Amino acid sequence: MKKFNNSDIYRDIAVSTRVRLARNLKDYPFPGKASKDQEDAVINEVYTALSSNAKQKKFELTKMEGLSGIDAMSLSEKHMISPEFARAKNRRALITSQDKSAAVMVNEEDHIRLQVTGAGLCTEECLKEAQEIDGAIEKSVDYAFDENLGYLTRCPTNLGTGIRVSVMLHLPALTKSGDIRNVIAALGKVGLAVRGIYGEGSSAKGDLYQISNQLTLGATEEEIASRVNDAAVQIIEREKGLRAAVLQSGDRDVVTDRIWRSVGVLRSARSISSDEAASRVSDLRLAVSAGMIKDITFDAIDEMTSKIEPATIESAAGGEISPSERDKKRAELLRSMTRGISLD
Amino acid sequence: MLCEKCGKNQATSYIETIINGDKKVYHLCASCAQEVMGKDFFTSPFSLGGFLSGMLGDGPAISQGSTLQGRSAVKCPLCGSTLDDIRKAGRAGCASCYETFFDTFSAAAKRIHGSASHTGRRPSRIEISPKRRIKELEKQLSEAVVAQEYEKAATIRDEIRALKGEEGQK
Repeated sequence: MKKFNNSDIYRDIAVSTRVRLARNLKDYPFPGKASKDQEDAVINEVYTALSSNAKQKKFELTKMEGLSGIDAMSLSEKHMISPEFARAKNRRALITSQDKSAAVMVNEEDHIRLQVTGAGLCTEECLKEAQEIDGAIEKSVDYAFDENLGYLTRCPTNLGTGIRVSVMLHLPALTKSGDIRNVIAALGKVGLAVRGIYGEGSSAKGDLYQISNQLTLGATEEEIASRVNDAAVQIIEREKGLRAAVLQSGDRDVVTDRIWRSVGVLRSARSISSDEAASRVSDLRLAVSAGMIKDITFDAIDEMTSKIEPATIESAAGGEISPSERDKKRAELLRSMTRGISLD
Repeated sequence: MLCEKCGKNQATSYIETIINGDKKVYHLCASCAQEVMGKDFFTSPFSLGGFLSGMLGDGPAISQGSTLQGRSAVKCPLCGSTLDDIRKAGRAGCASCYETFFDTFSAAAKRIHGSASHTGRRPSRIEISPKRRIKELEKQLSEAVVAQEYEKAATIRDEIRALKGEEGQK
């Protein structure tokens, strides 16, 4: 994941930040309504615009039809594309920057879904980079835009700025104490949403949550980004406070014991399910954050988190494998990636 | 245990969803699990499509005096969508749909976002209308006055006057 300046502040709780912009071309019907030729033309226009106008970055075009189902799902597990984009691949294309920080899905729900991702909490930096790329595309493409409704999107919920700013947070203490419910309720009142790690409403695997804006029209991009940023900081501070309280309470021994047992499992398991792995890795993340373990970085834990997802394991294995075979491979990966952690 | 969705195959996948703090557990067979992952399943029974149709549902008529029949006959010139098509899908067919059915979409935007007035970035290729520019400048003017930047305020004021003069000539 790309590292921007300042992205180390809050890095122990803020895993990553993503800014997504939805855009459409004025002269073509939206994806789904457009003809095959029109959808191909959109891919062409967007890629040509990017490669000729954003010269400081190198972009690579991947036609989704050319990918196997497993490879496409793996990209979605790595949050490069949406799960929906991975499922229906016809006349869809993914354009990525060489450093993988920027990805443009062409012909998803909108013609263009441009996203920039960075490690840690970095809403401002991601927004700036997304706007640069947006500006580069716009130099030679006519966007669908209305004075009052802003950027026109297929779904009215994205009108206006077409922006979705999201921050992924690791919140084990808020989860275990149950306070996460209050956080979710409070955020809902100020127009922010909380989701589990895999986008649209899946469970909060590994105590990872995504905080994002719901409303896109009426405020500027900067206002929306700072709203999400401020909410994330508040939640982080609450999570920190709870962690400190637990570590000073009588529960300290219980928590410490659980964390070390999890590290033991990661270092020695021969077969492990995706859910168990997620919860053990969550404990490991907590241990590094609390300074109990210093032999592994957050970058390595992030890499681990994405490598142990089902399709990513299969993609690395070169094709479909049975669930039990997958659990074995997952355990193997975890053992090798945690080998450097001392158990003493 | 049998799959809760098809009721035929053995359930092998356990799916737990937490949506806004509401926990639900589903036991599904492999093919149903694959089918529903990320689809409307997670949002059911309150699906996004249905919700949006509702938002677009009882918007005002597109022009005064148009009957219900007249309305459904209007088609978007670029993609051919009718208002009924858009309501069913909960989504626009193309950018021209917004122009054709502007009042409906504008009302929906107000319901969804609480606003139908974009204040964010705009494509530099699209020329800003004088009216909108005056509005923006007036905002900048009051900010400059608050910040006691009077020289800047005077420049902005002159620009507003010039624009208003142009507007008046039209």
